[in-house]
Amino acid sequence: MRRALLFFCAGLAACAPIEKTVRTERGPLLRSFTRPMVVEGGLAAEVQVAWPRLEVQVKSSDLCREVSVDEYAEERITERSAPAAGAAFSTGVATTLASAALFGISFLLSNSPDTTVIDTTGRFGPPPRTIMQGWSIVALAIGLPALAVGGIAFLRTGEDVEQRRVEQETGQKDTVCNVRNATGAVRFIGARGEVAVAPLVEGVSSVDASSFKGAPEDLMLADKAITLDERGVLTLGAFAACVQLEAEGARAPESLGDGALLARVDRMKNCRQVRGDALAEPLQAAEAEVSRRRQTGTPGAFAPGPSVASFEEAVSAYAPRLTFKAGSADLARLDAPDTLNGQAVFMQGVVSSGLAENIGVLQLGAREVFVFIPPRRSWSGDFGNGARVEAVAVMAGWQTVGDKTLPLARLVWMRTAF
Amino acid sequence: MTVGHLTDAGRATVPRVRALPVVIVLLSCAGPEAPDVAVCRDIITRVCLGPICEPVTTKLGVDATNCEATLLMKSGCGNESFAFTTPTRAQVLDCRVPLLRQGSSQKVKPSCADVAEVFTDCPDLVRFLGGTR
Repeated sequence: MRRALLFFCAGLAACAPIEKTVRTERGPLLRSFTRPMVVEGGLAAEVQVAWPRLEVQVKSSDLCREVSVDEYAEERITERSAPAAGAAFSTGVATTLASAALFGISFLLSNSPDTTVIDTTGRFGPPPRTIMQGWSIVALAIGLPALAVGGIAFLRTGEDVEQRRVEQETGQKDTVCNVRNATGAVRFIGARGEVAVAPLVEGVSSVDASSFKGAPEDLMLADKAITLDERGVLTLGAFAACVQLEAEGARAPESLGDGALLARVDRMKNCRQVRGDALAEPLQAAEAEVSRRRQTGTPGAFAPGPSVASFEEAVSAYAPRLTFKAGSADLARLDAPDTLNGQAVFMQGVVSSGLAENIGVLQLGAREVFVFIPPRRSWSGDFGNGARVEAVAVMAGWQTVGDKTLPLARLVWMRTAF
Repeated sequence: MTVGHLTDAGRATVPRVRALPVVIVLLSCAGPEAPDVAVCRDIITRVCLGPICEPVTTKLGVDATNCEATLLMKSGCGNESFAFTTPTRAQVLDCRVPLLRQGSSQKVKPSCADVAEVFTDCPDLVRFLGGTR
């Protein structure tokens, strides 16, 4: 019986849907305070070079953080309402009262059966009082559940207020703290992976240049990166340049190609920051060779091929397959001139400047190329700035002159055109 | 102790409490049992409502002027202490069903087809009313 009543009430509760609204109201500021905390910091290193040794001092540290916090009072208000409760309750009250009225009125009616009617089972018709009481029960069967639904809904409506404290972080201040010597082994990372490893003794590691399998670019302790300041980055870069020079060995500048010669000059200038005057003499020789090539061209590097006596002969003998001129689709190939080395090309453009006696710049639409004019050229003519020319040439990679780096084309024949 | 004979007073009253509303509703549809004399007179009243059907005249040998008085006398229903013997009350109630098809009120005349059906299906009732088969 109790279980049935429980199910009945649960069913009635399901018939009385409750709408729930939750709102939060911020109250006054209770207090402001700072919360100290320590978070994991990082690794930093200082780099010094006493050629041929590289000394690295690694420190680890924490980050001491002070978080500013405002604490407020907050009220979380849950409002529950039942829009159908009123209608259900009033229906229940009205129907239940009607039931009571019918029941009361029934006692004013006759309790004698209706003898004018005998049904198929041999019974007289019901008395008027019994009929009225039957309707009273029907009304009660409607009224009581409606009354219960409305009542339960009213009981479930209301407002709950939950008071609590909330924190709002308003700022934070970080300072490096707990600086200490790192332990472990420093890993020197190059372009192709680890190039050397050296253990730290009281936070310091010293490595000889001969121990490096390649040029170091980054430092790591286990799997954590070590941060270098700007000076440290420059020092490590200079040391890396020296390591590369040592690996290349001593080479006569005349034996190097243009690209290799310029790269070696750059490395020497970089390495000089840590080795000083020890490199002055070889650097001077390399720079002299660069200067000489700018004036006279690379010895023996002129485009191999047959000697020609006219423009038409040049076109016939070299059979250029690429055309560089304004609007030409082939101009896009100049993005990677290294892939064109040794290829014969036909060019049509405007002379934009003559940088040196045998090097000029040719404007091809929106592109520019350096043109190398061989010292013993077969054609004649003076092509000043603005001269419109066409030429047959052989591509020779990149060329840097001053602060300008452009594709280089070695001329086979050039003449005035269009 | 066996199931069905519970002595727990609380449990024993539960079925009665549950059944009470149902009983009240059912009672509101029917009154007390009518005595045999009332049932007998109800049949005679319905059969004799004019105009009298042809089977009543031919099988019971009565006409509109003497139908009700003749049948009350032949059946014995004129006596207030009348009670069914042959046919029994149950048989009579069963035979009476076609007479109620047009309505349960005694003022509603049954159709002649229903009267003929009663006389065909219930020869005991015809004999009871003093008629021939």
